[in-house]
Amino acid sequence: MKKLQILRAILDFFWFFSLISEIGILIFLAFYLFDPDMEIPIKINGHVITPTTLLSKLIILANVISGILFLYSIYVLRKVVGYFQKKEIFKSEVIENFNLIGKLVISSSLISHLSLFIFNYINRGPVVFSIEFGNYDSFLISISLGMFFMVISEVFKIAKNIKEENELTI
Amino acid sequence: MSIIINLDIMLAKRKMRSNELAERMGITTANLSILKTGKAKAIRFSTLELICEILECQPGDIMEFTKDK
Repeated sequence: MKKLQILRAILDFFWFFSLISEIGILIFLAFYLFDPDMEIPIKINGHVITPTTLLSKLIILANVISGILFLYSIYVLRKVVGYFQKKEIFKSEVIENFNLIGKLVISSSLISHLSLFIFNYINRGPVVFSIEFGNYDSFLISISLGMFFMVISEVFKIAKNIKEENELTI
Repeated sequence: MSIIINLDIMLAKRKMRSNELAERMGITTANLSILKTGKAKAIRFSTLELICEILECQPGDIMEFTKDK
């Protein structure tokens, strides 16, 4: 399957460069959060945050954790694609991994969006409840994507049972 | 499983070996073993028909229903 190879290549590319940047961010974060003289503003999802207070530092940390969770979901997706390449489609590992990807994507999105919401609320900034359309970074799209992976996990569970029943029909 | 397969008993009554039954049915001994050990999840009517024809018996002779405790 050529599409599978293309998907694997894209995921590998994304995973490799994201991992490097995430490691860089973690190293930078250690200095950034604990050095009081470093007050460089950071832009997260369109919100500019300067680490002057403990809250703003926590918000930055929460967003980095959210990034790590998302990166881990990409790693698990690579593993699933690896199973598909080996023609091991209806394995219990695939079902568990799809479910895990869904949970990770939802958690990552929730952490990121909730932390920014709290930040804006406390700092009397523009507290926005918006539904974004045509934007892949929107809250609804990421939650839907996570739920979709969880549904796929259920579908694969059903398919695995049907396959087993078919194999054990004499 | 509440359906018990009594194929072993029927084979003993007909003095027939599993290999021979599998060969005459045209299925593998592994598949017949799955059926005999009760691991099978379903049985096709065509398979049941073949067994009954070869062993000269009724479906009730090779299958038994028992209530789960």
